[in-house]
Amino acid sequence: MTDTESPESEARLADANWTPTRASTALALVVTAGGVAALTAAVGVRTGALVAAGGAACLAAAFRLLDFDRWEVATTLAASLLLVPAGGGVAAGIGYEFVAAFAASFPAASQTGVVGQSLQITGVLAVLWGSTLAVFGAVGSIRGDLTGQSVRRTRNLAAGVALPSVVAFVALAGRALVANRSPEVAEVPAEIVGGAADWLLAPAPGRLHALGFGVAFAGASVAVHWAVQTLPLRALAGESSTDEGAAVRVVDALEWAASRLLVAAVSWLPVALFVFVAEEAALASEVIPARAYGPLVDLTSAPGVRRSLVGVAAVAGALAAGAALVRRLARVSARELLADYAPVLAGVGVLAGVFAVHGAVRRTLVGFVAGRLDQPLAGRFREAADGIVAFYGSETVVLGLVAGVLALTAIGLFVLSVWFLLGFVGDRAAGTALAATGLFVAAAFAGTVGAPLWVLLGGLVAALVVRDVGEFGATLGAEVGRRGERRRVELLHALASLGVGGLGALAAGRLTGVTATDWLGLGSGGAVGGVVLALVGAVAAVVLLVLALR
Amino acid sequence: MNRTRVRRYRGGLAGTLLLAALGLLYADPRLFAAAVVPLGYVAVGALSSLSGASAPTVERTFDPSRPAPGETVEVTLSVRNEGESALADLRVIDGVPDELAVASGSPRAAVALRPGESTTLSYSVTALPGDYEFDDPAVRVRTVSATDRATLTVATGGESTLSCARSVGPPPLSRATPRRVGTRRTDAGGEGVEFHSTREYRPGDPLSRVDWRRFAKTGDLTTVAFREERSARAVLVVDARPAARARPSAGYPNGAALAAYAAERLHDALLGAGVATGVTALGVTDRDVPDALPDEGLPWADSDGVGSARLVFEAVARAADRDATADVPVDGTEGSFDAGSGDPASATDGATGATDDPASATDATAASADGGRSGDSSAADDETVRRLLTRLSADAQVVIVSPVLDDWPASLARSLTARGHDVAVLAPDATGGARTGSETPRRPTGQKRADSPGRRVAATRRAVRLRDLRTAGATVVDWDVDDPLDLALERSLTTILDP
Repeated sequence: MTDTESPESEARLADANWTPTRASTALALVVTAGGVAALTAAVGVRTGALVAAGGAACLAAAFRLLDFDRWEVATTLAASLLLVPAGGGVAAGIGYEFVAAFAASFPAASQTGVVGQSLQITGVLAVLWGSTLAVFGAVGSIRGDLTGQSVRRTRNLAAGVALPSVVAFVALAGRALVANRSPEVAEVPAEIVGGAADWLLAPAPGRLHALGFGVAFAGASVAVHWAVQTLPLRALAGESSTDEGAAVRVVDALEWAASRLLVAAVSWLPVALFVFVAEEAALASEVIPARAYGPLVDLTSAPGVRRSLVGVAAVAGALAAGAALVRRLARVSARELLADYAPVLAGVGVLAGVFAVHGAVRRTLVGFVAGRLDQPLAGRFREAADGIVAFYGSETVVLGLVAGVLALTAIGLFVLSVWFLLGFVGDRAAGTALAATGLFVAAAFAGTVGAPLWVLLGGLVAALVVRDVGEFGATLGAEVGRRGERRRVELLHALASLGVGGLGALAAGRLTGVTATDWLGLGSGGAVGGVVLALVGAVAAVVLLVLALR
Repeated sequence: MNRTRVRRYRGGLAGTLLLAALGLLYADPRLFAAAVVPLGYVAVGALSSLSGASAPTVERTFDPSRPAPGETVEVTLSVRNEGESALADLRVIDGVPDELAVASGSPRAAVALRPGESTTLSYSVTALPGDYEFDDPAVRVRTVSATDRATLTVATGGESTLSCARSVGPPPLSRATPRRVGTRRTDAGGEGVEFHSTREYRPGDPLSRVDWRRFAKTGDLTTVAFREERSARAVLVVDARPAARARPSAGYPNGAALAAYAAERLHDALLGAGVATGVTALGVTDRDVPDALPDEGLPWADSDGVGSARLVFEAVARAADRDATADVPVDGTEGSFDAGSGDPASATDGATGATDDPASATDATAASADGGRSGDSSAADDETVRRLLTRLSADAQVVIVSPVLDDWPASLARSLTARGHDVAVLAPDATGGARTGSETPRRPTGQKRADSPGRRVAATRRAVRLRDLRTAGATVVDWDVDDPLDLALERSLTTILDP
């Protein structure tokens, strides 16, 4: 049946009609915002939550940008660059609160307090992480950008952006390790390279260098064969206007010769290895007849021949690589190519940015962390930081942090893609599902760090309402569409969901034996009989669980 | 009925376990008690049920019940909960036929009904020629928790078939009836009633026409000539060529369908006015007629009973329905219209008249209409046009019924006027009624139809062609589909009967 409006039957309008309803999406957004604000305020992590929420919003914006087809290159590049503040914001927000919590908890008064303080810090971080996930899911649910496919695409994007930074960091850190730990080891690579070059290009005269010659010969044969296969010789010969038959025969002969040369070179290698071993054992001159031995020595030790073979390999290889690249460029459009490599380009841009501002960033970070810690810890931190910078270098340290943030972003997206793969999150209402999960975790852990009961229960109710209303709105949009009448049904369902949650919260409050003031955290709570009531509640919960499973 | 339980609260169980685990880990009874919250949702979801709910009754009406092609029809569904339980979540999807596009509103709705309560659901579709059967609406009922749902099809009361205007209503005769039925005045002098001129008496002139008064005065014998009245004879030429089969947007009838409808109405109106009317059509192939076309490749129904006008109109309707991508050209060529056999000769790719994209549809209209001047000379020499001209009687008025989406009607009009025929053109507007710079036309329901740049270009080009037709000596009646056809028919009759 046709549902599209006939004068404006465009694919875009038709797709937008079947997205989750606006009322449900708006309600989920508002409830999530309220829940996150209340939970983070109750736990005292508002600043970090704001920064992390900003990072989550950047990540959701990157998802939105990737949905545009029209300016694919620009939007892919922008989305790649947005991953840096996304990961940085989340890391900074969580890191900030971690440092603050750590500073507040340590040094611990006693050894037994370490476990308690660690649990406290874990709870705070869990609230922060849950709130960040909730914001990400809620913002992503606005346009329904969160699907399994979009998550996988963003994951690959993040990996592409992280790659240059990670590679550069590993290289710089490795070099620093080598240079500082074992200076003599640092010279080994140069010695190896030099020795290999001499072995290949300038063998010692008077000896039979079968293996070196064999390697050079094989390299040249492989490169020539690759070049003959990749270059459009047959197409050029066929289009020749003069004596087409001769040109095609020449190409045939060339291909035949290249393939035979390759076979010969590959076959020679085992023989060359045997001869090399024999030469090392001073047996080659006795095994090989004298008439052959002399010319072989001249041939295999002649630097000119070696350089020619290496030169042929280099030129043929370059031609083949160039032809392969041109073939690929001809098959794909420039736009697709640029879009494919945009993340790597963004990563190179990030790398350049790190090298430009690493000094200022390092000083700011060290100063900020040291400023949050108490004096003995602050001093030790500064010493450790200075030592690390002196060992690895300022740019390596900052690059490591950036690479770590990007890598963690990619890993986080990978975990999210696994959730989609395992079916924990579906495509239809993924945003609100993630928002609800984050809110629920935040609320649950907020209860472990002393948040008032109303915040705990309110957060749980908010999480379940977001999940319920979001999924309901997605189903309603898919079945009825945004243009169909549906307000009354939406309102009824939302009220019912809130009602069930409210009743559940009241029941939970009564089970804990709280009075009216206890709801605000002003009382000590119903300690007398509270455990008993909780156990009764547990039994009731098991019964309900069985009912639900049945 | 298909009843299903939906497990919506699996996450609630996981949340309950998380809270219980945290409660044990942190030894906090509050967390344990908080597990009641997600369990409450699980319990409500598990315990809610549709038992006791009954299927609603649905009744459908169409307004108008017998629309003209292109007219907007308001479809109203009345849904009533006849049971004793409330239906908290009732979703209705009406069975709109695939051929009809929804013009406004939505045939889908989600409502909540108390016992005995009813609600109405309205949307509008654009009528196309023919009969269209609406399927029974699909209904899905859910509980408030949405964990129990039932899906069923409900038989509708009221109307289920939308019939659009292959049948014809009474023709408008009130203002167009001439003084004598079945005749029209000419500019020639001879027998008649109205004074025309005088001339010298010739032997053989009837004595009743001698001007005796002048003879008495002057002694000269003169004969009075009166304005001759000849029997009115008209031939309708219906344009069903591929170039005419473009439509302004999906769901609207194409130009050939509108021309067929207007021609059929005009034919009956002319017969009612006593005009001997023949019908022929261009763009019809052997596939569109029960038997093969005549040798000349044109279906023909004479006014004296040779052939059947009904068969011609049915063939035109079949041809008009053939507006697939390969049949409608966008490069200004005739496309699939072959003058000889009428079979598709060279199908060209391009935007179709049946596309859902209004931009490409109007591009098709604009491009196919942009035949340019190069086709003029070839059209005049067109074999089928020659056959048409040969078949026409010398005194026949020719009425070309065409949406004028290319230059062919103008070239035909020039050929006809060159041979002394009176030519009228009844042109249904297949560009959606787009206007250049003026107000957007309104539908009968009062809703504005959105114009696209392509539609405006097509309308401008059509207006230029209509001007060319007038320059060629044809009388043009431009029919805006939003206006009743009767007005256009009255003007056409006036033109034909009293040129």
